[in-house]
Amino acid sequence: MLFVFIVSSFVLVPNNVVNEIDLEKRLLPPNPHNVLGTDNLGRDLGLMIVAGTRNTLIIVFVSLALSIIIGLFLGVLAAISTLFSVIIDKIMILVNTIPIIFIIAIIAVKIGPGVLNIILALFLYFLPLFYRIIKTMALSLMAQPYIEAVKALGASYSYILVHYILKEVAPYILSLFVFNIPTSIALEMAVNFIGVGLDSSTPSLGTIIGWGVRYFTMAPHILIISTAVSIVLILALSVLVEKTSKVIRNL
Amino acid sequence: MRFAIAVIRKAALSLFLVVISITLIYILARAVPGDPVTVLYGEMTVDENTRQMFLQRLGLDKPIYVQLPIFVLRIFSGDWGKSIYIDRNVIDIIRESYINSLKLVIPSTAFVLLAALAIGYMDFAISNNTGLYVTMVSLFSAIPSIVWGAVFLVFLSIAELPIVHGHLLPPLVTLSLAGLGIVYKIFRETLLDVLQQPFIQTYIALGYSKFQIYLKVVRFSLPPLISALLYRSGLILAGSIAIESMFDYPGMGFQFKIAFESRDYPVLIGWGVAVTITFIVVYTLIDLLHMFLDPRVRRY
Repeated sequence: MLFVFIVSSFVLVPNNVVNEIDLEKRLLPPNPHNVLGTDNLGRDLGLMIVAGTRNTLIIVFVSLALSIIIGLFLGVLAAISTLFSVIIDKIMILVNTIPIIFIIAIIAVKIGPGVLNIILALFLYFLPLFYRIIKTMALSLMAQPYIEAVKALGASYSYILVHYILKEVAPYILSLFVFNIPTSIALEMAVNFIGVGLDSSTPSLGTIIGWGVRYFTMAPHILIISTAVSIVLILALSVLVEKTSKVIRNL
Repeated sequence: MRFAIAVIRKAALSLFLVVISITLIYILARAVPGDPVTVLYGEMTVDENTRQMFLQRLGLDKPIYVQLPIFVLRIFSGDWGKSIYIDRNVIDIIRESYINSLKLVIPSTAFVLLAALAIGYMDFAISNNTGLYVTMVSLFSAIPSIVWGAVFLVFLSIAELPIVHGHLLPPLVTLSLAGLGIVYKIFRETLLDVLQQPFIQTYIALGYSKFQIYLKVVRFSLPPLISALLYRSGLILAGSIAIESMFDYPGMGFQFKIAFESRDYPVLIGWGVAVTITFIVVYTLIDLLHMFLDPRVRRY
């Protein structure tokens, strides 16, 4: 568990020395200068993959955190008030039925590509899910007898929320976060592969795989290396998920 | 009879949902700031007549409350507008790629269903080596389909097989492999749950053979398996965009990519409408199937 966190923070260290475009050295296979070879603009593939993995992880963490925070807010709100719950439920059904990639595509067509598009995509994907889970949890907590007792003692809603509901929900929220990291990485890769999200100046695992497919006949090393890195990353994260679920089960 | 009434009620409800979603799509497409004509022409200046003509063709020249009912009515009457680039109706383009996607969905779903049943039988009735199956399942289901596609591409080139663009087989293999992992994971969890049920003990005590018991178990765990499969086929229909464009297969996903890259606004909106309707239909089907397969869910 710790190991992966160290790796990811290690990945966070190198900054953007990546965009050194050198057209003389396009699509080189691995050599002593560039250990993993170069891409279609002569950038070093090793650095690109480190930066790409970092960008992927940042996008995933930010959007998951965002959807958990908003989902928590809406879910608890819906648990308190029936009116809110009816309204938000209807909105969530609509968010579920309209394909998210379509929303992002419309935004990209009208405004342009960018990191925010991907974060929005992941956010919209996870929000209904988290909202439903948190709402169910909060509802079952609100029905507990000790909440009734505290209410009878004259505690306000905000006091109950902070001191009882949030305290109970917190460990589950952490596990939700960890459980959904592999899924969100897969989503991020798909969105960037299509080219709806980031433009070519910002590497991420999805965009690198996209270039790898495009230049596959000329430079197969791009695709092979980036695929291998993604597989290793996702397997490491699934191990993390398994470990976390064991810890949660023992709680 | 009561089942028929339930079906009609569901259908009416989903029709209502379709109308609301189309409305929302239109409002969304209008509300996002930006101008498709400017994006289309880039830095070039557009003269006023061309701009007006485009706006009229895209249905953007009148205020939103006038256009909205027209748009929704047009969707239902089958007039989805024309593509900006090709001189074809949007509905024809969408229909063609939809049929191509269906060719992908049906064999893939059938394969995943049969393979999941077969592996389930091997897993629980024949073999005792559960560790192997657990590892395989988590391995297969963790890796996203896009990575499967890349692996398959590398494999093709190592085996020196020709990479045929636009052929059905490569995306079919990739999607089936990726789908098998996820579907089998769900199926396996249900199987484990069902095997805990007391009626299995009764069957064992009655001396049923392993295969007969397995059939009973499968019948009991059918609803989650079927709904997982249906949901997945909805996802594929909606365009396994990455996989299809990786192998240049002309399905819905590829169509989306072309429309997006050429900024073909009407085709993009048509795609969104088609996919939304597909999703709503799939959700309704899942609900109905659950009612049909599981008597406990029937609340007429």
